[in-house]
Parts: sequence; C-alpha cells; structure tokens
Amino acid sequence: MSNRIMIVDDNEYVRASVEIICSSAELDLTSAASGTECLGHLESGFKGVILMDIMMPDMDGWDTIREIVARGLYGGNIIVMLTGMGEPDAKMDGLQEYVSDYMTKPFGPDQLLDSVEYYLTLLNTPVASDEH
Amino acid sequence: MTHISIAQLKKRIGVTVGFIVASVLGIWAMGGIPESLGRAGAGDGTLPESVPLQQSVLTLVLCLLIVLLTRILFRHLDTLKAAQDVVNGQQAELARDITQRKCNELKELSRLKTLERIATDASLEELLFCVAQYVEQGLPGSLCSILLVDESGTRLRHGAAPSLPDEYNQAVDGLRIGKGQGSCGTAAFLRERVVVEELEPHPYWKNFQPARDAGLRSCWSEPVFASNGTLLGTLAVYHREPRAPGEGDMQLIESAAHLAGIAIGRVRADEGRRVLEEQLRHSQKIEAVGHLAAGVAHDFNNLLTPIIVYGDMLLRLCPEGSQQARMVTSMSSAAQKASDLTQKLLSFGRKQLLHIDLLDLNEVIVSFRDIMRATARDNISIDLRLSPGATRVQADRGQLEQVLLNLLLNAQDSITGGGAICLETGHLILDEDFHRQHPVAKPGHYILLAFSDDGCGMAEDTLKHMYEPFFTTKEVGRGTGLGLATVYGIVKRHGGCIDVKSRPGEGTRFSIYLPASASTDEPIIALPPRAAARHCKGEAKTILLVEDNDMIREVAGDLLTSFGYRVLSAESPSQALELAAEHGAIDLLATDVVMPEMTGPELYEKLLETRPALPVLYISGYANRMVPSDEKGRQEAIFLAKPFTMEQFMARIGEMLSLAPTSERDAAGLDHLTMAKLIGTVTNTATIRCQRNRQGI
Amino acid sequence: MSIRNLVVIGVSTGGPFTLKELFKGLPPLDAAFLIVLHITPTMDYRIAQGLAAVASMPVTLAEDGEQLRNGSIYLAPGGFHLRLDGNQKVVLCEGPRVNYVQPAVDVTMLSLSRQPRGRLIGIVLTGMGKDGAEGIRHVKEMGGITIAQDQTSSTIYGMPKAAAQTGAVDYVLPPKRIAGKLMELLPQVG
Repeated sequence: MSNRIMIVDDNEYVRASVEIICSSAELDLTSAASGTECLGHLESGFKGVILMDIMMPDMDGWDTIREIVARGLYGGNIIVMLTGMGEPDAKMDGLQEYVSDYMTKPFGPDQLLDSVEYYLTLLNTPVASDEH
Repeated sequence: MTHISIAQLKKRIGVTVGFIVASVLGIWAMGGIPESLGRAGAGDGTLPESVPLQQSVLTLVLCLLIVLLTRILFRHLDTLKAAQDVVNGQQAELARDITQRKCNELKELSRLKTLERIATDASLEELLFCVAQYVEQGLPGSLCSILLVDESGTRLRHGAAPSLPDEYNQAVDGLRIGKGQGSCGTAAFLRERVVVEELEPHPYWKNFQPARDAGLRSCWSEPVFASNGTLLGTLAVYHREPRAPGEGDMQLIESAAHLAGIAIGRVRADEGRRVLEEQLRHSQKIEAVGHLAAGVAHDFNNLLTPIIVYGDMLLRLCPEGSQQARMVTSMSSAAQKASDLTQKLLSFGRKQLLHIDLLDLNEVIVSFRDIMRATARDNISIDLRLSPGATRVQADRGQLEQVLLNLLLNAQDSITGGGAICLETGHLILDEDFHRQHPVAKPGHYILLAFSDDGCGMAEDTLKHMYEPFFTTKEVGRGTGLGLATVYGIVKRHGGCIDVKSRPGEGTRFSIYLPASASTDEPIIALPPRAAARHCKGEAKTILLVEDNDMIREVAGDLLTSFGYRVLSAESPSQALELAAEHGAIDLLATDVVMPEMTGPELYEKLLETRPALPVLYISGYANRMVPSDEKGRQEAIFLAKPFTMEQFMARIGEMLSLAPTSERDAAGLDHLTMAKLIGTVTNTATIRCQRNRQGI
Repeated sequence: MSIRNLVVIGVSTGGPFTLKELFKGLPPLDAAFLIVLHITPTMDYRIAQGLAAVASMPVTLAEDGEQLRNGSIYLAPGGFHLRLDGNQKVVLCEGPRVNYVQPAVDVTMLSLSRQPRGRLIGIVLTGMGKDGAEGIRHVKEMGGITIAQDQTSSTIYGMPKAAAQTGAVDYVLPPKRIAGKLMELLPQVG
C-alpha cells in the first residue's frame, strides 16, 4: 500500500511545510527542488501522489509534466498542482487529463491531508490488470 | 508739358479761334484801316469811303475757312478722344482685373497661411483666430465669430471672435442649438446656412439685447462640418449695417467654414491621439504593476505557507486555551489576512486593466441576461425595462457584467423564497441640485442603470456601511462582503456615481449613473410605434411645463415636442399663469414642486379655478420631502422624483394622457408608482403588488 | 429496454473530488449517468472505483458496444472518445484530441439526440479550457436541461465559465445544489 508523496517545489519553506504535515500523518515524503530532481525520483521508481509547483526556474510545472509523460513515467501517479497562481494559464492545455487537482498556496495542513489521503486511496485501489 | 485733356484743348482752341474771327470781323466792320487815318487827319470831317467789296468777301471767306478748319480739327480731336476713351476704358478694366486678382491672391495667401498654421501644432484658439481674420480680411467691415458644439451636442460655445466685444462673446457662449436661437443656433440645428440680413425685425434675434448693444445689424451663419459630416460648430459673419451677402461673400464664408472644419478636425484628432497615448501609457504602467504584483504575490504565497502550516501544527501541540495557543492563533490569523491581501493585490493588478469600449448598456444587459437567469433562483423573476433608445457609455464590458452579477447575488440574498428583480435603463439629465449632493457627478447627460428588488431592504445603519469591503450582514460562509465594494469601485472607475434607496421590509433600489457617451446623431429616445401611430391622427395634446431649472425644462420640452405634444414652457409660476391665460385647452400640467413665487400645488390650485378637470404631474427634487397635502386623494396627483429618466418622464406623461394602455403595466409589481414610494415621495394611488411573503431577515 | 433519462457530465481537473461531492448522498435515480472526465487509461479504473465507494449507484467504465442502463453510473475510459448511439449505445472511437483533450466532452455531447421519452440533462463541472461549451449548447438544442458549476465552488472555473457564456445554460450551481436539482428532475429508483 503506497503512502508515498512527492513535493516538487523550488521554495525550501514550502518543502519544509509539506514535510512536517506528512510526518505528522505518517506519510512517506520525497522532496524535489526542481523538475529535474522530480524526474530523477520517478526514474528511480517513485509512484504516488505528486504535489507539483508551477513556477519554478529552468523547468516549470507544465514542462515537467510533459517530460514525465514523454518518458512514460506518468502511470501509477496522481499529480496535484500546488501553486501561488490563481488560475492556470493556457500553458496547461493538453495536460488536463494528467492533472487531478489544483490547490493554491497558502494551504492549511488539513486541507492538504484530506486531498492527499483521498488520492492515495485511489492509487491503492486494486486493479484487475495493470495493462489498461 | 502739363497734361491737358482733349476737352480742355478744344475749349482753348475754340476760344482762340473765336477771338481771331471776332477780331477779323470787327476790323472788317470798321471798314478796314482807313486811308484817311494813314494820311494825316484832314480835318474836313468827311466819312471814309466804304470798304471795297472785294476786301469784304475775302475777309468773310477767311473767317469761314478758319471756322471750317477748326471744325475739322475738332472732329479729329473727337476721334482722338474716342480712341483715348477706349484705351482708358481698357486701362480701367485692366486695373480692375489687377485689383481683383490681387484681392484673390491675398485671399489665397491668407487661406494658405491658415492651412499652414493648421498643419503646425498651433492651438485651436489660434487657428480659429486665424480663420476669423481670414474672413474679416476678405470681407472688410465684417466681424467674424466661430462657435463650437459642446460635448453634449446641445449647445454652442465660444471659439474665436477677434473683433467682437467680450460682452457679446460671453452672451452667446452656451447658445442653445435649436430653431430660433439666433442665426447660429438655428444653423447648427438645421445643419444649413442661415442668413439674416437685418437682425432687428427677425424672429430668430428677437429680444437679443447683446446684439443691439454691440451694434450688430446683420448676421450670416454657416455650419461647420467635419469630414465625416459631424457638426462641429458655426461660423458667423456680422456687419454693423443691414447687409445681404454677395456671391463672392458666400464663397469666402464657405471656404472659411471648410478651413475651420479642417482645423477643428485636426486638433480633435490630435487630442484624441494624445488621450489614446495617455491611456496606452497608463495601461502599460498598470500592466507593469500587474506583473510586479503577480511576481510578488507568488513569492508571498510561498512564504506564507510555512507560517500557516507551522502555526497549525504548533496549535496542536499547545494545550487548549493556553497562552501559547492564543499566541499561535493570532499569528495564524495574521498570516491568513496577509494571504487575503496578496490575493487582492493580484486581482488589483488584473482588474485595473480596463478595456474601455463604446458599449450600449442595453445590449450588455441583454447578452448577460442568460447568465443572470441561470444564476438566480427559479422563483425570482427578472424583469428588464430597458430604454427604447440606445444607451451608450464608455465602459469595460467585463466590469459591467461584474456589477450586474454582484447586484443580482445581493438582491437574491435579500429575498427569501420568491421575489422580483427589476433592471431599468434610461437617459437622464443630472442638474446642479444633484451635483451639490453628489459632487462627483458633474451636471450633464447620464445613463441610468437601476437595479431594484423587493427583498428585505436595508436599515439606515447597514446603508452607511454597505460599500465597505468585508462588511457583510450575511452569516459566516455566505457572502464575502466584497460584492458591493467591488460595484462601488467599478462605478467610480467609470466616472459614474451610485445611489441607493432602501426600506426595510420593502426592497432596495440601486441607481447607477454613468456618463453618457456623446453622440449627436442618435435620438435620445425612439418614439414607440404605438404612440407614433396615435399622434399621426393629429390630436396633439397640450402640456403646460413649469420648471425653473433651464436644462431640465429645455430637454423635457424638446422631448415632448419631438413626440408630437404641444408644449407651453414656463420657467416660473407667473409665466405659467400668463401662458395659461393666453391659450385654450391644456391637457396636463407638469410642474416642479418647489419654486420661487409659489409652490407647484399652489399653482395647480390656481389653475384649477379655470380648468377644474386639469390633471397634474409633480416633478419633485429628490432633496425635498415636502408633501403637498391632497385631501381629496385625487388620482391625478402623480409624482415623479428627480432625478428621473426621460423614459420615466415620457411614460408618466403618456399614462396620464391615457395614451399608453394601463395593461402595459407588468404584474411584476416594480412599477414606477412603487418606485416613487421607495424613492421617498408619497402617492395615494393603489399599490399594485402580488401577494408576497416578505418577512425580512 | 431504452433508458428513460440520461445525464451526461463533463469534468476535468478537480473532477475526482467534485464528483465525490456530487454523488455522495445522492440516492439511486432513474437515469443513466455518463461521466466524461479528462483521464488517462492508467487512472480511469481507479477513479471509477473511488467514486463507486461513495456513490449509491454502481460505477463502471463504459465499454464499447455497451447499452447504458438506468440507475447506473458510467465513466468514459481514457484513451478514446466516446459517442452515444441513440443516446444509449456506447461507441468508443480513436482519434486526435479535441479541444486538446481526450476523452472530449464535446464529442460525447455532440453525439446526443433528442431523448424520445424522459429527460436529457447536460452538466459541465470544474476544469481548465473550454471543452463542453459547444456540447452544452447542443444539449440545449436537443431539448435538454443544462447546468454549469458556479465560480465559487469550481476548482478551476474555465469549462463552466465557457459553458455559461454560451447562454445555453439553465442553472449555475455548486455541486450539492446540482445534486438537489437532479433529485428534483429525476424520479428515484425503488
């Protein structure tokens, strides 16, 4: 049963905040400070709920997702955007089916936990055959 | 040798020859030179012998010869004179041609100079001055004046008049555009040249003392148009004696009017460009602020996250009710407020960018109607009472829709169960009185957007605070308290003002006044087809209109006239009584309530003496709450509170004269009578309401 | 046996949560529910299961050729566009993305025809973009009742806004009130 969460955000305080929330709920958190690091973790076999910031230097959230899909690393993950931007811009077009939720900062711990736990439930649903 | 004319020459020759002939004849008459005289005087006293005949004949022949020769000479001289005359004539013509050409050249030069000035960035005043001078040079003795149409399109303002006295210019400044308003007012109204050769007896100039004072006796006025046909103003030529224009004169004036049109057009275009540039610069600045705000907001949100998260976690670790718990709670709530502020900053950056367009408010409302209908509960009716004419404003569509939505949600929240919402648009003139109460609203032409509901209304206290951000009377979780604050901000940004009237238990009416976008072509109100048909029958009803505010009286009067009514217009009760005495049937008295001399009701009482069946419509300034006590409770006493829209005015008049069938009144219940009640005047007509459950919250 | 009532729901980002809110507490209704969620083949089954856990009606992935039945919820599978034949038979088709997405709400809604008996209801919930706007307009033309989610409750107010701006939307509501409206319009089962 997966309890793995990944936070992808260039801001250390945000990462720290998610860390403390996850540790209080006994969730396994993987931290990534950039899109590149995120991909690295995925390549290494991470599967779980990914909390993805949008505005990051180098590769922004959307670019990172595109790269994830291109490399076939999406399967088995649920992506939730975690962002300071109110509404997404047109750069999101084409990625709708890969983004399950959209949360704005600042968020409260409960708010985050409710979502994350629900998505973990979904991920832990047994699937008849994994070739779908 | 001094120049001698042929006539003089002839005279001199004639005199000389005459002298010679006379002398010769004289000598002949005396018998030649007597020999006796030559010989020594004999003293025998004998008379000389008569002159021999030969000598006489010779002398006569000589005389005749001289005369003949002289006559031949004279004939030659005559021919010479004739030739000279011809030459002179030609010379004169030539001289005239040259003068004329010189004159034309001067005019052309002057015109070119003026055009040159137009091409530079001279001010409008300088250019018009130049054009006026051009006219005065081309028409010596004339005084030229150029008037410009003002923003509202209803009056002429002073442009340039280099030679006319200041008092006169001040007197014509603000001249109304209309038939009979001097040559210029009429020319502007008819969009045609108006020539008045003699001011004194002419009806257009009747009683215009300033013209007499300035010694002006004639006035020719030519309308000035832009290249697209818009009326820009008038160009007038005055003289100090009665005078009719010659062919050349009118050509000059046309040319000058054309120049004035170009000048004004160019200056306006420049102004327009400047305004656009300014707007562009402003919006670029705002965009920059927006970008900055977005960047800052993003960072802020990141930084607020740990504060809120850690705060929350800390709270779990603190014993309940402890001092630490309190401190942490305060910290978290401060962080939350910071987050809200950041959001506002972001939306400020976005919302400040107004995309202003020339919009028809009616059209915006109609296109947004579906969304309003879908958002409001089924059991709330939405009634649109839109002005039949176009209601043009300069506005941002998105912001207007935001206003409509916010007011709708507010109205919906004030209604429990079923209810009615009414949107109204109309044209109004806001006068000086209104301006005094609402300094933001300069007097002029405005478009009304009124939003009424029959919900629970608001108490005095609530009214005081309703525009404050975050002020809300709703329970926690319902309503952010930002709705009305947003509406207020948007209305302000559009240069308008907002007014609210509310009675707890009865309902609320928001009145938003937006500056109308000047358009001289469209009529303010289109005549409804039914009414038009009725008027074709030729029964013109007569209305006695009494109103001391010039603007309102004039616009209302014009509107009534354009709808086919006969209007007797009076600016005071005494004038009204005079008019009434002179005229026959009067079908309606429409009068202000508070006036000098006597009040509206007092005037009405007086008129009732001679016209017992006369109905009355009281137009009351919103500032006064004076209620004329009408003991008999007559149905005819109807109020219309200022500021009223032109549409309301015409509808009232039509209703009172039974031209609009009462079945037009909707069952929705938010008719003008009910509105009048809300607005604070009293009417004793029956209220037309459906049964509603109106328990206020 | 043909279905009497058909409800087609289009939704995207924010869908899993919003659908949970909509269907939780909604009793079994006499209608077939077809949900078109922008989803990938790897996740569609899991979403369906997640919804099944809270809904009072069975939730399955729609299969090609399947006939929709009353009192059931179907989820369009990822990787295909879904058309309905006669408002009842599922036809899965491959093809390029429409409105940048797959499965596209527009494709499904545009394939609908007039419901011979009973109601046709079209709903557009949270999401980015404008998928579903044309579809909702079509549903209205086919005599259906149309609902869009309101701004306050939408995770992303893109799709519901685009739908509302067509002018073809009857109601603008949050999820709980949409549920209420469905209960008003549809008879309950059992």
